[in-house]
Amino acid sequence: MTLNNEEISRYSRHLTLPEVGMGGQLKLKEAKILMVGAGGLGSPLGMYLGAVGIGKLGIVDFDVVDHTNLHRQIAHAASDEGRPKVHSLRDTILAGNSNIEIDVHNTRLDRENVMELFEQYDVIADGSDNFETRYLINDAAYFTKKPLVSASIFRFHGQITIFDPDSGGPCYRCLYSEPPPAALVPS
Amino acid sequence: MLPGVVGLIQATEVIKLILDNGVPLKGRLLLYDAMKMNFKEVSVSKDPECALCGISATITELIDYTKFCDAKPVTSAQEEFNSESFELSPFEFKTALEYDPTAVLIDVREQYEWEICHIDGARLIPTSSFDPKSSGLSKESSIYLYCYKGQRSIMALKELWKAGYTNLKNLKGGIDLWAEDIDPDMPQY
Amino acid sequence: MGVIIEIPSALKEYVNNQDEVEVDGSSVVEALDSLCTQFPELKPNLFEEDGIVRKFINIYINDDDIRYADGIKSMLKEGDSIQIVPSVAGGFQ
Ligand SMILES: [Zn+2]
Repeated sequence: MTLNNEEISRYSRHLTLPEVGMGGQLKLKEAKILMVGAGGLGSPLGMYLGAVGIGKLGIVDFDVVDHTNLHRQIAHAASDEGRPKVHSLRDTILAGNSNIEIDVHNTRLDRENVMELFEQYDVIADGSDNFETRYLINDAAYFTKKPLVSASIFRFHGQITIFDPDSGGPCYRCLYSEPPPAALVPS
Repeated sequence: MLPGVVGLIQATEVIKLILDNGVPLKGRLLLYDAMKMNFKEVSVSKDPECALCGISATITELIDYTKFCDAKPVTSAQEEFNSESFELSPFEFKTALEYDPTAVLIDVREQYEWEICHIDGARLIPTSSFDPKSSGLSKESSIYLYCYKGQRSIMALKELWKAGYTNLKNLKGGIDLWAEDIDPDMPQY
Repeated sequence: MGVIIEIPSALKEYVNNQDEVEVDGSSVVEALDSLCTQFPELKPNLFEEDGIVRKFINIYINDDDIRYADGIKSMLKEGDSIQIVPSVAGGFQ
């Protein structure tokens, strides 16, 4: 794999950093990242991963852009209202960097599709919005041996960590073995 | 914007993993508080008893996640308490309110939600300070409760039920569904 | 001994919307007991009926999970703080 001249110029500030360099930039170009959620977390996450030159980006979400999303889900514009979030996010990312490949999955992640999907990627990024999906992602990432970069939000409070049991680290269930009972989840 | 910061940290960690450089956020949980504007870190250890990755793991394939995350009773009393028997649709709720001379309408959301919208004639008693004893509510009156989506009001209703109130109604779907079904001029949030 | 307990936003409503509460206690269980005596509504959110900490809540002394020390019996030193961290699922709020 190599960089073309446009890419060399685009990523030149990276290429001159010892922490990245040509080797690092090629690693980014070879990388395949699957992100779950194209909302508040997925917007900046996807835009950043796209800009930085991740080779292949998968985006899973089944929601459509709603008026009440616009104030925080910055990848979606007012003109995207009613469109699938995966399409809106894809277009925003590609507008900034058309060198990357984006696979959209306009569907709810479930037991039937998760394993096959995860197999195609190197790293999973969880920006989902419910416990069912978070435990599904954790278990599937464990079974497919993929590192999971997990972020979640409640009001003004965020939690971020990496689960990588394959390299000896903890998983989501090590941290929280069970979700809260539904009656205790604030509406 | 709160999620923005968190999503960018997530992106940074993905990029570091790919570059295989720096100190990854493994075995550490980063806590971000936007209001205090601080970051804290707590350690996350592998749990030897973890049902998935522990020594005697019981989860060996994908499970039924809906069932796994399903509501477990908060207290044993909840088993006898059938929340559905107190629920009224927005239309039934409105009709009952109009025809019930002993009706008292209580909004259990928080002040900032009340300021966005509320149902005329309601009294605000937020769940954060909800206490049947100090509520001043009479057991003789019919108490109609609502919140945003109907979940908090059912919890408040249950408190009243446990405290011996019997004539209780809950607005199914909360003020959100009310705005859709009854009052199209009401803002939704 | 005075100890600061940091309250997460998901549970703030049970403690008059405070970010932190100072209580007395020489162990985690004493400190949490004293917190729950002040704010009884908090208790069912922190503990199961048999008194074990709910599984979606972790408690840390400074940055160490008490599950890997002596659980709620873990002792506190002067200047320690207790952090309550519940599991949150949102990706969008
Ligand atoms: Zn585990």
